[in-house]
Amino acid sequence: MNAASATRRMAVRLAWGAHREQRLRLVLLTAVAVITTVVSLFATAVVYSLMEERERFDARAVRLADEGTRPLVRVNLRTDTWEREQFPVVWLDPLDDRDPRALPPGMKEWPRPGGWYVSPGLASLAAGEPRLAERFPGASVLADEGVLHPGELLAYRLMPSGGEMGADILEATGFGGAREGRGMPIGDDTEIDVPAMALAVGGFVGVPLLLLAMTGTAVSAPLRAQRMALLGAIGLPGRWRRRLLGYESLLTTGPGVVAGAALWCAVGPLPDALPLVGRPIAAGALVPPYWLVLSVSAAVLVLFAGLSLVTDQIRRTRRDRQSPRPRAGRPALRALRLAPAAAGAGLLVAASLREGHAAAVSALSGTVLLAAGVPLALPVVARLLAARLADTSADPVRMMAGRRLQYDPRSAVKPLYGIAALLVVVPVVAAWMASARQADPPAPRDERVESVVLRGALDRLDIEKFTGRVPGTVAARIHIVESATANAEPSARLSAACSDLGSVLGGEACSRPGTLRPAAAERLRRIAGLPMPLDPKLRPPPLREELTKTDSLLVLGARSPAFELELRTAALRQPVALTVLSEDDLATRESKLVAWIFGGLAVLVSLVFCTLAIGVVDRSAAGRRDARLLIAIGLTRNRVREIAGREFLLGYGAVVGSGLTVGVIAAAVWNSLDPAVPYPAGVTLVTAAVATALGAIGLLGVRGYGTARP
Amino acid sequence: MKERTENMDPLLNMREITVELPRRVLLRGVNLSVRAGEAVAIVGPSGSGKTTLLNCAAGLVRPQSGTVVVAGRNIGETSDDETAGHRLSHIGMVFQFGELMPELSVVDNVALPALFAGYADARERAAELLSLVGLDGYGDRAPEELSGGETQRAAIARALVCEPALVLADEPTGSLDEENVRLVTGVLLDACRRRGAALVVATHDASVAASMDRSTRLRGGVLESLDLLPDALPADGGRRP
Repeated sequence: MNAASATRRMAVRLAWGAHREQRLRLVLLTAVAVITTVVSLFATAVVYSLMEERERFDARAVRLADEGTRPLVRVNLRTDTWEREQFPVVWLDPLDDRDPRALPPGMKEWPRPGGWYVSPGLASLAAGEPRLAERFPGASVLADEGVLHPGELLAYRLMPSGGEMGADILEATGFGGAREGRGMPIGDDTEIDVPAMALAVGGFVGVPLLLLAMTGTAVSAPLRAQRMALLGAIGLPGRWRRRLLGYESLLTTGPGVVAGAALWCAVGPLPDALPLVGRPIAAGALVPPYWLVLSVSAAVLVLFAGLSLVTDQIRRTRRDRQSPRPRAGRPALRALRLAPAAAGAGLLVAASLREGHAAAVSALSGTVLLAAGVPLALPVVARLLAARLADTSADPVRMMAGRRLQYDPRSAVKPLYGIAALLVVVPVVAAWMASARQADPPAPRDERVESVVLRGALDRLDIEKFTGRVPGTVAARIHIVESATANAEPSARLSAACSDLGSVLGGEACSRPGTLRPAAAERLRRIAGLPMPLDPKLRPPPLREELTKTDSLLVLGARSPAFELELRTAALRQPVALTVLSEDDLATRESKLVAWIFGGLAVLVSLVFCTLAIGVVDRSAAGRRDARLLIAIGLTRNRVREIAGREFLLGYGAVVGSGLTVGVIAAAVWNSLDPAVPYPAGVTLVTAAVATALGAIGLLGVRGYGTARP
Repeated sequence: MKERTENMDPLLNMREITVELPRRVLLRGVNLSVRAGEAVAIVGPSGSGKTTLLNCAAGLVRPQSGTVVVAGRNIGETSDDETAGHRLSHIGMVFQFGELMPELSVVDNVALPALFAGYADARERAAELLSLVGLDGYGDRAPEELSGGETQRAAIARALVCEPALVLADEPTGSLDEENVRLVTGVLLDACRRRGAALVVATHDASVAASMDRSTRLRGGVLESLDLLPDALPADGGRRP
């Protein structure tokens, strides 16, 4: 046998030995490897699919013609809405409909004039919704390369003969490949800002995964350390030691990584929507290319091997740990641990003293530092609390629990790092989300009257025919009148007849001809969603020749489910490009990122729970060694459980207290940047309740698993 | 200090103890009796069952058959909790490597059983015992600061803090040099005799065995040189000259 084969055999014994602690390590580390691999592949697949969607998004952006360049197609970007989801409706007017160069992606040929191309998602939706289908009669379906994902809603229309596209026409040479600043995107790219999403994935998934891997690698660490110290004392050279650890890591985590990759490749293709977020995705998008699967799996293996080597190296730098039977000593805690938390706190203070963008950057940086710094500082906090309890307690159970935690707080709180980070991050995220949601309450809606605003080629619109689709509907042109006085806000005036407005409002609208009653004016202002005051003086009703492409037409009618649907259908059936904006369109919408944040938090909480579980099991197993001695001395099992339970609770209390305190303060600083937004007290309470529940589960685990018959 | 009246009843009385493992029998029908103030050595090679015998005496292992009576109580008929409580008050244990808890100071380690037994003066007792075993002034030190011999002496003090009727020492000098063997053996014997405690020492060291009042050998699961009943002993208790 040579050194290489001896090292491999030793690695096998180290990894797959019969010792109970080695078996525990194998089981737990395999589970951690499976989870790490599956979640890593999931996160990678999400980012990769977003990158592909970004490519498709950029590939369909309108490529504006440079000055002096002959355009190939005229484009007008409009929108439509179905069940509160707004989607693009793109009008096209090719200068030569036999020229395929200007075809948008996914469209294999130009449709007939007035014809439609819709996304697969819109086609599928319309197949089950006749009222939606009647907006896009005879529509062809775009190919997959023309849409971001199957669920996306998108429509293209070739301008009808004699039609009109209205204002804001883009002259383009085609789609995709535009230089910086010469591309007009179609649709919303909030969810496909790849660098931001990758950073978010790193924060919500990468950091807790790393903590989980570290906790898994630390399972049964003292036994391994003793074995390695023995080999070192025998004289194993450094390079063979590293190889031994590498082989051992491969043997313990390799099966888990392979199983995790196989599992993900098997279940990854199944979802047609992003788990936890609910967003539709392309078929098979959650399984990255095989080369990426191999790379991620290899990276996970390297991660575990790296953690194993690093922890071994850290131990080796301590001389007292190099003996196979080291003299036990209190692990030292460096004051440097407090530095990140201190820096984070400093940045929060700076944020409270600054304003605007600088304040937001300081607050964000401070929060990130605190999310990492608070866990690092926890052992110091736990040691101080434990010392106080042990020094002042006459109860031997509390004294023992305090001394044990005081002796090695790092091992006690390491599985709880994720919980501390969660308690810091969640209140801040909630405060940020409240801002993102722009928590101004929505304006109350009129019970009787509903409105839409029409924009587009109004100069070519047959208003009577249009409004005739819904009986009792009245149209009024909206004029914005700038104030003659500087710094005064503009006002709006309506072009409508008193009788028409009165018939809609259900009473006399005017106090005298051409002048609205104040109450009627205010009611109309709210119905129209106008941000500025409404001048009670009316202008004459709109005549077609007076309307321009840049005007807005307010259409009023009795509130009913059919009102908006009929008007939208009517608008899309016109030969002119129109956009209908309903009350929902004009109201503030929740950011699409909210679903992503909830999904990220769900992953974060799940990984934190796994880390806690692994850590509790490992800690309990370690506690069994101490339990034997205490039972031999004459303590009952219940007493031993009490000690273990109190030690756990003391450490957990330090974690929850520190994390929650910092989280509340950090959220308050965030809140101070936008005082109109209420403090996320509810979310903070729920977070505290979840942390308490996790603590209760951990306590049960510690008490239930931690004693053994000696 | 607990009063130990002159009593001929053995403090430890083990009858027909049998312990079986899946592949072999560790103890076969072992009988052992030890009186107050008596020091008995159990010698035998590694794996002969000495530790198992001591663990049976302490109630940490339940034999498949036989009875164990310690200080008048049959610990085979008690629950685990009751056995633990009996052990806390009546049995002191000394292990091969001392097994002090690194998170406690030396005096807290020694006082630990008394603290859990509810003694209000636990630390004072511990300090007194540390003086007795020659570790005066070591109370505030951490266990890692003690040498092997000092650790064993502290462990002996811990075993005696609740004034147990019976002290069980499993290879207490197994890891010590010759000088410390003599020192620790002397401290153990002296401390037990002062308190009238019965002492059972499992050892493979002939010099330790020779220091005891009598020796028994465990071989093949059987205990040789039995000590059955008090009235079977000669008037001088069968002590070695």
